[in-house]
Amino acid sequence: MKAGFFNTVAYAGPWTNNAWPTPPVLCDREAGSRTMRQAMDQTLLADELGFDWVSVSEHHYSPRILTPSPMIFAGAITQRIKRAKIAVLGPLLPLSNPVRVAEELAMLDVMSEGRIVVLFLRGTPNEVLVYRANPDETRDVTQEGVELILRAWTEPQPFGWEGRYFNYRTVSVWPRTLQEPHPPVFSSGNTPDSVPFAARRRLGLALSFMPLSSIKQRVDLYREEAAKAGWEPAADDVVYRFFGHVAETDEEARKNIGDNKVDLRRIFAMNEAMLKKLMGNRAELQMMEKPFLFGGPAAVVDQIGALREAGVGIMDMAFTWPGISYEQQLRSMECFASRVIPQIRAL
Amino acid sequence: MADATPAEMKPGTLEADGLRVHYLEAGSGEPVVVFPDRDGELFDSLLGKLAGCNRVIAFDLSAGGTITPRDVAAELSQGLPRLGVDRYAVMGVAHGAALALAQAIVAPEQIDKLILLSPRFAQSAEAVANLAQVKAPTLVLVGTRDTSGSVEAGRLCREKIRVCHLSFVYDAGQAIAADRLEACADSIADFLEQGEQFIIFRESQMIRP
Repeated sequence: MKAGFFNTVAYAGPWTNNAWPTPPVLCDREAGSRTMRQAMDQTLLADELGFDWVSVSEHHYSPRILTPSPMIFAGAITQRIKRAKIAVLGPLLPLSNPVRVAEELAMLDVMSEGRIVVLFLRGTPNEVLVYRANPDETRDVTQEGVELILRAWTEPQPFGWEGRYFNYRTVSVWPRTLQEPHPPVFSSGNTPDSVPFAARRRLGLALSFMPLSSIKQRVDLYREEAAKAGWEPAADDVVYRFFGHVAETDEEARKNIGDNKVDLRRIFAMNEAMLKKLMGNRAELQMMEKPFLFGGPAAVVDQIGALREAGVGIMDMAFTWPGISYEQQLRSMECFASRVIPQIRAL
Repeated sequence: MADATPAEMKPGTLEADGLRVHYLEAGSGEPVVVFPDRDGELFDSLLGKLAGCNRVIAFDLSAGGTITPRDVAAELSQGLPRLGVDRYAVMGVAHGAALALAQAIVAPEQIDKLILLSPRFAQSAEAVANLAQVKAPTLVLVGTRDTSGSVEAGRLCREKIRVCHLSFVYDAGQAIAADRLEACADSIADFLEQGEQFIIFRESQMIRP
């Protein structure tokens, strides 16, 4: 099992307003700047502690994640850490020019000496509102964008693209990625009907914030579809992103978390009618009573064993949770690295 | 262009010195000579759309025989002026690409544009050398799901032909025009109208004045 540190780059100042979009006036300028410094420190710590990769993601208009452009933060990371892989999980294609995304990731790959990993996503339901996107089309737009980016990374000659959602007459990306033919690419399997695309295109499968039973179901489907396409995924082809909190004992972990919960439906703070309209063809969002991984080292190792049995080979863990301070996150990371990582290597 | 009413194709026969070939014709405007695939399929809907703005003449050479593409080209370059076609675009579909390429090489003074859809031709040293002789601006369309060898042929065209644009038609297989009719028809129409300048988009990006 490989361990990834998901750097959410969450706003360092106090905030209790769950509205989305969150009014910019609530962003204290100095706290915004401190967020970036702390997030970079945390990234350096993750590299020192032996995490296999550090990841960033793209979200908009909210203090939960201050990297609307994950490429910029990933670019800074490439110049600070020299060991761990840098996972950009991931650019939101319905909100992007995919050729630009291909160019920026190629830059990151050469800047990082070939340590980039990428997952292309369609965004959370509310994010279609950011730069205009039709919620009923985001999956198809994302899949076409993936095909275009893969072509842009591998085609030896300049080319045009006559797509359904994208149309370019001149594409010729420089620099080429250092990794050949291109960085490892993951595709979301959060909605069951997205899984066959990942398998058919021989991409990795990325899952997030779902119960163990759903993870197993998606991985089984992925393997079935991959077999139909004539290949067999390895453990490293399946990544799972989640929240985790590790303390010295189960009791301490329970105390730190308290009664705080994460309700993905409430994150968007929208009324039912609006949410229904935005959900399009997506799976239901989950209420999370506690972090996916939770407890003292022994309990967490057991939970990771179950995750491995479900078919996951790479964990992408965020140490954030409502009520958990920055200092508590650092302690949790250190505890995880010293007491858990050595025991999960062989899983 | 894509909204033009598909025109009805009318049959005709062209007799050159040693060749008697049937063709289907529709539309009026700048002429486009088409060589369909060797199975004789004429891609009716695509040609119908193109005939909304162009005079389309599709030759049926499915009967085959031993005559070479160069010989066909030599005969047609003699015969086409008798149909009032002196300067024209030529389009080859799949195996018809070899005939279209031969036409472009044998009668360069007649050909103002070359279009290849899902091109398939033997990539011999001679064929590769011939590509360098093509003078007409060229458009090659290949489907992203095409595994017949068209992608490699298209890349070779892009590399060897002096002015060649290779475009991938997303989610199309070998039957490219059947899979993504509008995508093919629109890009071909743009190319027929603007030649190599078809890469310049002219649609306004203004949302409201």
